[in-house]
Amino acid sequence: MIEKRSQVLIIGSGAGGTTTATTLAQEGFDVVVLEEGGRHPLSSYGQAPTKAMQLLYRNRGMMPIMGSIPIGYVEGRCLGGSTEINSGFWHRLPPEFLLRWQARFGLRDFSMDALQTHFDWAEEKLHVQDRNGDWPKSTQVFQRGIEAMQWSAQEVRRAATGCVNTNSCATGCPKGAKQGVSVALVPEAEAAGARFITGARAKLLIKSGGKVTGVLAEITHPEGGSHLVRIDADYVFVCAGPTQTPALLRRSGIKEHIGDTFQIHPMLKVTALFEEEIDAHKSVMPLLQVKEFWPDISLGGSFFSVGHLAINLADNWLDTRESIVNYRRMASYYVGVRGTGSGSVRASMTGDGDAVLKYELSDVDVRHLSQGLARLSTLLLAAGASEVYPCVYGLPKITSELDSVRWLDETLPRSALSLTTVHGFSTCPIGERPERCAADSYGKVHGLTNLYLGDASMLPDSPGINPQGTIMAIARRNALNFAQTHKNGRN
Amino acid sequence: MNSTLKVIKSRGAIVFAGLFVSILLLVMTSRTIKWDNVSQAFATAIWLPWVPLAVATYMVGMLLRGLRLKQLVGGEATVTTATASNIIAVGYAVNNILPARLGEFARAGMLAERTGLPYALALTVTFLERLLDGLTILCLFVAASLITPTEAWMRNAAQIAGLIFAMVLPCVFFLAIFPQVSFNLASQVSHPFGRKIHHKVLALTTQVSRGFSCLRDATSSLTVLLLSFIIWIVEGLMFALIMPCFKITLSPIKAMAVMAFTNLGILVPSTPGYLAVYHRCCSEALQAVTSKPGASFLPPFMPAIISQAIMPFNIATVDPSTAISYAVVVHLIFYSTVTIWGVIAMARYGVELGATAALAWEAKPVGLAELASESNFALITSVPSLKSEELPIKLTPFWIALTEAICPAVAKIDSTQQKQACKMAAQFLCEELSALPLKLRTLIKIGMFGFRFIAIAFGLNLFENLSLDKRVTLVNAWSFGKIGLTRKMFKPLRSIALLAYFEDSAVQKSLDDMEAERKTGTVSPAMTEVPKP
Repeated sequence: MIEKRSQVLIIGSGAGGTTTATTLAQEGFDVVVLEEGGRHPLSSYGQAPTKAMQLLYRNRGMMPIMGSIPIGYVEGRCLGGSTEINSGFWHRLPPEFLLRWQARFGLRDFSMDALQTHFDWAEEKLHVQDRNGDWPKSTQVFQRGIEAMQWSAQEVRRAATGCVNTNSCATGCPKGAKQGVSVALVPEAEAAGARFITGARAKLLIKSGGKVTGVLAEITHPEGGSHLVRIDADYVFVCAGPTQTPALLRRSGIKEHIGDTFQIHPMLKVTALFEEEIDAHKSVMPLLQVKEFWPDISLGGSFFSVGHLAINLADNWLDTRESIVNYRRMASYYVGVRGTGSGSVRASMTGDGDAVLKYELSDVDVRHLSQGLARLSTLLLAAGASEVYPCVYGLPKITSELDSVRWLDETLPRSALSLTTVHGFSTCPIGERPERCAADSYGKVHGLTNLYLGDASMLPDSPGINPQGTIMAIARRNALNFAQTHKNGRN
Repeated sequence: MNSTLKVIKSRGAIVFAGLFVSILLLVMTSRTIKWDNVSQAFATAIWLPWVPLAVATYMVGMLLRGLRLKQLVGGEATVTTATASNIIAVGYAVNNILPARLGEFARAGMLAERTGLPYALALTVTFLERLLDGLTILCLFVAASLITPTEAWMRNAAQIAGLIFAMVLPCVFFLAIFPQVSFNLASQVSHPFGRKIHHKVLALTTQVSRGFSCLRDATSSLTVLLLSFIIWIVEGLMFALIMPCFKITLSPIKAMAVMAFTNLGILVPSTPGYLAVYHRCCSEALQAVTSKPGASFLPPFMPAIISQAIMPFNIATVDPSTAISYAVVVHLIFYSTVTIWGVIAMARYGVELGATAALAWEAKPVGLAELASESNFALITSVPSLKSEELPIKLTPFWIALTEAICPAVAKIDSTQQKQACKMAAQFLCEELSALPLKLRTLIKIGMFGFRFIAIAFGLNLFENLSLDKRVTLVNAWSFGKIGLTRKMFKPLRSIALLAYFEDSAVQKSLDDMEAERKTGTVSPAMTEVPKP
């Protein structure tokens, strides 16, 4: 007798979706993955940022988070999701956050020991390692500043084996060195039988009798035209990311604790002008992160291109534009704060029900950003920078330590801030606390027997670090638990 | 089989009802008409130049209808104005020949066949056209009623029609503005009735929402609405031009009221070509609007001496016999013009059948091969992509001029390279703004409208025609001035334009050249507003 395999439909092919797909396919499930973006070869990666934004980014990179001040936000929309356009920076979930999540959200079986094997698995698959060879110049000058300030810092491990400094992390690594999941996991998932269907946008989940019976999706054909299809599956995993997962669930009438707790890491970019040539546009972004003020404030390096430099100078363009000619002697850094404000994700009533993002910075956030700016500019000046340009309207440049430390005590005007973020999460928190969790500790959505979550949306709270490692480890843990639970109940 | 029978039965009922109404009105009309007077009216009628003018006017109206159809399907498919006019003529002709408004279905069928659009989507566009017609006619009737006296029964009839449209209109706007919510509702409502009905309802909702998609864009909506008014004003003009044939004083306003009421009247089921219903409505309306004085002359548009020379008559009140004669002529012009046009179009396109995008689409359903192997996939409906995607914010000289004002020339760049870099940056800016969520995009559009308006007041010319100096002054005033709102609006525009501009290889090379010069000790400003010649 031939055993029929359980069909699992996974929506989204980012860090969480592909991890889930790989794990379940290897466990013998019949896996189909829907990805809204396209499957792009490495040869199409590494183009100018303007081209890459159109190819790899959702809404061509235009996803502002609205609030009293708009915050620029980007995420990937292609096979591999945001892992194709991030820096490949890798962290394990810090123990204090693990404990906090246990305490606040009642996460079950959620210990460092339990997660250890999943982090190991992900790090092995993505070849996570320390850098071999010299630091790029932008990191060296940053290190100089850190030493001068005597602050604690760490070099971030990366999923980028064999990185050759093409400065293409944000535009897709054309060398395949950075281990986006399209390079590191998708082939393995496909080898295990998972099928990835690209150009497929999930429009609606069909529910009946306490379970999801199918998914309505629009599949766009590369030659033009689209199909509206219904896909049936025994189990559905929504792994569409922190903004699209809640939007899809809410469109489908699943709203309990969905999209109410959108968290981000607000970031303030700062550019520094040095006497020596940095050539940041030709090297990987600075690899060190200052941990002295973590978890509230992080200082680190940012993606640099001449176009992005122009954006960083745009707030005070009339005063700063002459500086752009020195771009070879400049590098960009950031002040990142953990984010204690409140945000939400809703499905738009008009149009195609796209995600509407809102986030209101808390006073604490603004305070931390001000202090972060003071510290980062002091560090950069100590490192030899002659001028520091923050993305703050009305504050064209900082040229002395005295100007810098002013912001330790004063607060930057909220409306003058130009903020960005690349980290969003916590829109569908998991845990055992029904009053604040959308799904149980293993991602099963409350009230539905066969609907699961497996992406950044399930992180209960802001982790204060680059979240890819945590997402993959928890997705792997949840997928294995699912496989174990359902093997006996296989059709 | 059963459903086919039901359709035949329901259509048969409509045909029978139409026939009954037509015969009834024919009998009623013929009993009140003095046929000698009708013969007399025809015998003494002045045909030239009024009838040819009326025919020409009607044909202009048909071309305008074609233009509107082109606009309505513009987001989905490409069709020329001539083809679109022919499609409409075919629909009207079939309505004149076959019963039960089958012409509407023929028109949708031909639209689908000519453009490759799915039939349901084409039928939705046809429905939208008719809805716009109805609304426009109602508005024109109300406007005409305010100027020229009309009978109470006419106003009552218009109120009923208004009520019908008032019920339909919110549904249309809901489907157009909230396609995803409509889709969700359709899914929820139809899901309990089983998979087959669920899929059919979803397919229909998808196609209908797409059919109404042109209403999502304010510019497109206003254009089709404006065209609808022009179309029916031209139709009213045709009615007016027949008035002097029967020595009735030419009155565009009264003609508008007659036209509006007649066209509302033919919503009632009747025989092919609206026989009897059309005549009855037209003649009654003409008598009603001419029974009371007011708005019955061309002046002040035309000097009295000229109008006396052209129309040496002054019938203000029209008797029933003249009114029916007038109705017969108007109907004949409408009927024969469009029927001949439609039949010719049908004959012409009949020969070309088989070479259309629609047939190509039918022959090659895209991308189904990879889905066919998936047992758990069910295809609900397909929508072809018949034209390349149009940006909601299109690249125009304004956006290029704005980008030039934002992006200063790097000192070492020549004017051709600067122009090219700015054009590329403007294109990128339009693409990025088009990708914004609808709400933000609309706000940007409103803001830009205000900016352009102020630019005209500031420079007494369009922004794009102002000198670069003036443009830069204006842009800087909005970008770095005291008003926070304008600063906030210009920040993303500036950032996007600068990103694209400074990613340009020629711009980067010129920056390198500048840096090299500085190393040798030459110091000059890196940026100028005006590129060197």
